[in-house]
Amino acid sequence: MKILSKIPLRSLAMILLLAPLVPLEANDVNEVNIYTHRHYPSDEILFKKFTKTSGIKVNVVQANADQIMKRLEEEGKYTPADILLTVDVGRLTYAKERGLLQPIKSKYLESVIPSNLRDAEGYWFGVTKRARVIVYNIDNVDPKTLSTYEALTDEKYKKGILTQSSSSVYNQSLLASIIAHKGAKEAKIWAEGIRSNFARRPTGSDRDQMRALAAGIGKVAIVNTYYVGQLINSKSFSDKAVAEMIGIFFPNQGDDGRGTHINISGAGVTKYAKHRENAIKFIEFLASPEAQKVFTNVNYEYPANKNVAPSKLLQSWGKFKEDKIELYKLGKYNVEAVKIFNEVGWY
Amino acid sequence: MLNRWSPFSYILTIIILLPIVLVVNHAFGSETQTLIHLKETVLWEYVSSTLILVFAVGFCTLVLGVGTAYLTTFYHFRFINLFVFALALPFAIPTYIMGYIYSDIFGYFNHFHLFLRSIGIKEYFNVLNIYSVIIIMTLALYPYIYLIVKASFEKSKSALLNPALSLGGSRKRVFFEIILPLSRPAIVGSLALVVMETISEYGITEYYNVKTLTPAIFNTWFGLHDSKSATYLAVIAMVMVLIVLIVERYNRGKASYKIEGANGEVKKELLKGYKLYVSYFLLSLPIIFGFLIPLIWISVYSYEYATMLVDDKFLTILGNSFYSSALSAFVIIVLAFFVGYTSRIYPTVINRYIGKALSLGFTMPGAVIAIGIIMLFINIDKWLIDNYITTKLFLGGSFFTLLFAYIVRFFAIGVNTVESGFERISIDLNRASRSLGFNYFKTMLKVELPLMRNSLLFGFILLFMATIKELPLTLVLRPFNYETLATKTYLLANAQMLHETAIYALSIIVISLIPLSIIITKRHI
Repeated sequence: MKILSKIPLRSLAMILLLAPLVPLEANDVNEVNIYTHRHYPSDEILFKKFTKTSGIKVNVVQANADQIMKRLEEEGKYTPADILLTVDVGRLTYAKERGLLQPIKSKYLESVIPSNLRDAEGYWFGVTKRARVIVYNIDNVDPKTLSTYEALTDEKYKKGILTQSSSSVYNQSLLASIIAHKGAKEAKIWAEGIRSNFARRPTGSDRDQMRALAAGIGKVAIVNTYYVGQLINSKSFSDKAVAEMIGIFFPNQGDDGRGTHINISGAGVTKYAKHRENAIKFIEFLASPEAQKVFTNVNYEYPANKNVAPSKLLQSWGKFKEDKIELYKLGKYNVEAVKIFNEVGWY
Repeated sequence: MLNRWSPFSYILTIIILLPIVLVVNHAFGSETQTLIHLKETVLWEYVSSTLILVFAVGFCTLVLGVGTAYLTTFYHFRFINLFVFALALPFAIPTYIMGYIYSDIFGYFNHFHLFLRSIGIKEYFNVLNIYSVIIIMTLALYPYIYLIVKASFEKSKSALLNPALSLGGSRKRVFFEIILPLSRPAIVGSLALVVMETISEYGITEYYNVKTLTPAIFNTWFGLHDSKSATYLAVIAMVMVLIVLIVERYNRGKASYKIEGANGEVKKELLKGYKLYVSYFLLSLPIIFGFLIPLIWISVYSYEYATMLVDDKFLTILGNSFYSSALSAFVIIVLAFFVGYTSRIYPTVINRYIGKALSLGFTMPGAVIAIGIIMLFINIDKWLIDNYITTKLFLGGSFFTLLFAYIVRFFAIGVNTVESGFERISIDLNRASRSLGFNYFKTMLKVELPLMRNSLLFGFILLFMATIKELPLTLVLRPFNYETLATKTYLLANAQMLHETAIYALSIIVISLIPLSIIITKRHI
């Protein structure tokens, strides 16, 4: 006890209390500051790789995209963030609309990223792709009977469809793509048709839809491809079993089909970036073959760089026709999509 | 009444309410179109789900919390100390993690189903529904009521049970007619915390797709891109809670709950026979489902994934969580003590309701509060920069922002524990001290502080445990490269890498256990 009393407890307490007032970081010039929504292991690998090859320090805040975008907006011209990195094209277009991003010119990005995957004026660039596909239970569905997203509204899928709730941005963008192709009226009929064929009230994640499917609930589920990849490579025995019981179907193929809906993760340089050059370097790095391989091998996403092949696993699912619509168009219809979901009761 | 104490409370209240005022102000001028759209489509579903959830969780936690507190305070049986301790443990598991764990155990094609199949049962049932949410939230939140009410029971028991019994009252009558009414501030206060947390819960309601007002706020904000209407909904939720709080405070009015007297040891009634077994059974249920099953799950996956996830950063994350929680809990409890003491010595109308005003931060979803905090600090920063005091963001995105956010968010817990502590100490002690020549400050230090020591320690620990689990504020307000156990847990779970979260969830539990064992072994509750 005597030793204890010798410790200057009061001064120690004062130091601890006042510590938060002292700014922690010195002003590191050679750095790049990122606000990101992505929280995948692949990204941490890439941050490290980038620092190693370029000598530029990467600082990160990971948070939900919509909230971190609000922070970016409020911080205005004083924001420390140089890059906004997020999933879903709807968010990227919204960020551009709100004036959170600035256009950049990069010969490299323009040459390797197909034009439908980036903003026409260079405000944002897609760095990975994911397809929203139909997965089916191999025991009770013959893939030959599957064709399009639209066909899922048919009577024969009554109590047969599994998908996430309408708060999923991937469902929002899928519906936005239908609005873009066919107009709001058709899109509403589609959403209504899907809702009336729900196998259950939408709950859980994309992975949960596939688990339910494997358990014999419903016939098909609408999910993103990389979640299938995660299941296949899961350490969990039951998830592996689920993966073995389902098949992947790319809808809307064929000559008259518009192609399977794809969405992206993408990055843009913030309007008030303090490290603009570093930020451009970073996005170019994400698009480089080295980084694209990590995305596709570690996180099972399709490379956005047209010169990079998908991982072996993704290739095993087969080639497919993508919906080539300029993705920025989907952003315009996001609000309308959410309204339609609310109207038809797709909770 | 002019005095030197009240201004401090007023200034503090203004500072703490500033971010909320900024957010509410933001809600004015909502686009009525969005609101009409919501009203025509989903608003009723949002409101009804919220009400159902609040009433169901409120009722269940009340029964479970008061029931367990009653059994462990007034009866004696073998292993009672173990039960007293274990009943508080579910509080160490974040609600959303419990939700994820149960869906992992009982969801389609998960452990329980595979087990059923292995013994030949092919039946499936869906657990992702509102009933599961009610059960899980009850398990996660009843410890608020159990801990706070038990602390209150303990105090009235020793003072009142003996005299009442010696006057011939039966135990039942004494409990229902004296002790239960006396514990009203504690019961209502803790129930209010449960209700507030139920309304603002986001993780589990989203995953189980129960459309309460909080997911609705997010839907409106991020889906419909109408932050004004979203805030408007948040204000509706806040007003609902506020009305309940004020009505309660008004009804309680000037009723007095002070107790003094002999603190003689009370002989607890020994439980025997079937009563004993029924009690064991009832007490075990929340421990098994609220703690043991999640703990087993967490331990198994921690073991499986530990080597993969424990790296050089792990200790830093642990340290961040511990330091930020301990520091904010300490600051809140000290400030709440000052405010409580002020309204005690100057019980003006404003001072009596000031605690409720300071609790507002708990009624809004964390993500909405976060916006208010960002607005506040950015404005201060802009002022600093415009006046050449600083050159770049100084407060925004700093640790200080985070600390302040915790204070705004969790002040309710501080106020509640301090208020119910003060309710039990007669103001006469204060008067006596001053008549002996001590001023208010000295009296506070010499009389109230020692008497309140246990209440304060208790409040500190509740705050610590609540903060270490805190999520939405930490996630969006944190500085660059700043991780806590909660952010790590959430981000992994959100990326649907559920099993990888186990090691972080386990760390939250272990860290929470330290302060919890202190209060319980020292018999402060």
